[in-house]
Amino acid sequence: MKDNLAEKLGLIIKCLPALHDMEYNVQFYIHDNTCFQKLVSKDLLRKGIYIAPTDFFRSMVALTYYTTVIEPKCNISDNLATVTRSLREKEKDESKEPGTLAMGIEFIVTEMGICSKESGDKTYSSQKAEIKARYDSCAIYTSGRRADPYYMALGKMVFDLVSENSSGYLENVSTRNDIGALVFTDAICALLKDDSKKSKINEKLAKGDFLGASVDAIDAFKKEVDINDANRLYTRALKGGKD
Amino acid sequence: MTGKVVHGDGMIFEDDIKIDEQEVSDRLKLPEPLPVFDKDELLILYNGHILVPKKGKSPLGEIKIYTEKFGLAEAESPNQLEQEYFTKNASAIDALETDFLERAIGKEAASSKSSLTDVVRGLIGEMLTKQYKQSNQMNLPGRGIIPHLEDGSVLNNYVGLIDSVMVLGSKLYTLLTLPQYIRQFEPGVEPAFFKKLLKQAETGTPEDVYELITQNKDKVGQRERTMMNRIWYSHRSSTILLDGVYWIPEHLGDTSKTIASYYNALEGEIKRRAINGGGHKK
Repeated sequence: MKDNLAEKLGLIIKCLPALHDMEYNVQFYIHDNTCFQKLVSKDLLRKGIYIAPTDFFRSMVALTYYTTVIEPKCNISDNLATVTRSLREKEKDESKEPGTLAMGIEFIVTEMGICSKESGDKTYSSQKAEIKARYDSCAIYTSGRRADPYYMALGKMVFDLVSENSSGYLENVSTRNDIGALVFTDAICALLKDDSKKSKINEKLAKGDFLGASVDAIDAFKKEVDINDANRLYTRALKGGKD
Repeated sequence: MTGKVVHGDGMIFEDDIKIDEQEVSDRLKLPEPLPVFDKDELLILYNGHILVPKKGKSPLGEIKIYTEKFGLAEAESPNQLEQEYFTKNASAIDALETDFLERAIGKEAASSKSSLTDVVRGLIGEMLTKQYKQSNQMNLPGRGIIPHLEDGSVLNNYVGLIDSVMVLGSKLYTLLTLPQYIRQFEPGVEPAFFKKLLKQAETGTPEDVYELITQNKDKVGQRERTMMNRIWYSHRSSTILLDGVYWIPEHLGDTSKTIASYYNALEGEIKRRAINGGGHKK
């Protein structure tokens, strides 16, 4: 990863106003807490959703974007909290260590697709004006500040939130919702089967139209996904990640 | 001292000089931001020094944030930053000093250099010493690579509980060594293993400690194991190596109380400078 990209992403994180001041003294480090405060909504954190550690941040950033910009009225966080509780109960029943059974990002993305499907036939493209108003509400001001080493490391953390296919698009992000939209879109594209739709989404990402790409991604995914996918992934989580 | 000392209404007389005790203890409105805490980066206050992460290695220590390692290098000293603050705000501080003297000993006396006699200075100085107390220096458990800095700064002389802290924006963390951190969990660890764990924590790396715990899960309570994930969990874990020992930052809250103490201490310094003829002008 280039230094100047780490600096750019780090400066964005540094200048973002905090969404809340929740601080975890257990399990999480100072850099985790900064990223929580800047990129993950308080409501989501409070639900106590447990996701596999390697997928945790990516999932929470994508979920924050989904629940604050795309579909604020859905109850996905309650659903995921319920799944977390049922996994914990299974762990207790089988005398397993807490955290042995966990959801992965595939499950999270599938749940977002199901929630969108259940919210009705209206496409997100047709609701673009309302979605844009929510998207545009988070401008930041970076003038006069620089990314010090702490924030350059956080820039690396943001870089690691997307796959190699999408990392080039990070050059054009400039707000919290740009980052959220890219992480969200990248996670969906990993599961999307329609290659022509993926191509169009990537074209929008390349032009810096993160909002447009994210709307196209969820519109495409909600057509492909169905409840059987969610059930299959839930069953897999109950078996400790094995099919 | 000649003249009459009156305690009841807080007025002290020496010939024609009256020292108003209430005005001596009254608050000043200092120019903000204060020095040190206006640095727009992560900083560690250790044994009187200010250390910041920098690219490359440093003999003083290193900090690993997420997957990225940096050296911990010395920034400007608290005294240097305070001198810059006094210089930058010279006219405002000048005005504060003048106003303080006029209120403390009266306008006429304040305008006459001969009024600030050793006795008057001494009396006001005693009042200031009672109001603005010096802090105690702590003995830190480091290896002595970073000796205590005696720079005469207000921060190091008057603000307590900052011998080993980390400041990140408005957040304040105390730094605990690995053994200090682990001692919190003693009740949940099998006693013989606890001794072994403590010994490893005194000389080993965070990863060494984590490995030992992982290999002896049955000897450590599940809650304690979760808490000890703060020591090390994976290659994405943060670590601080400073003065030859590893430290774990524990969140204390925000910096407001520390800044308030510093504000108080700087106020005392300005008052001392006022009675000693304006220190910042030198």
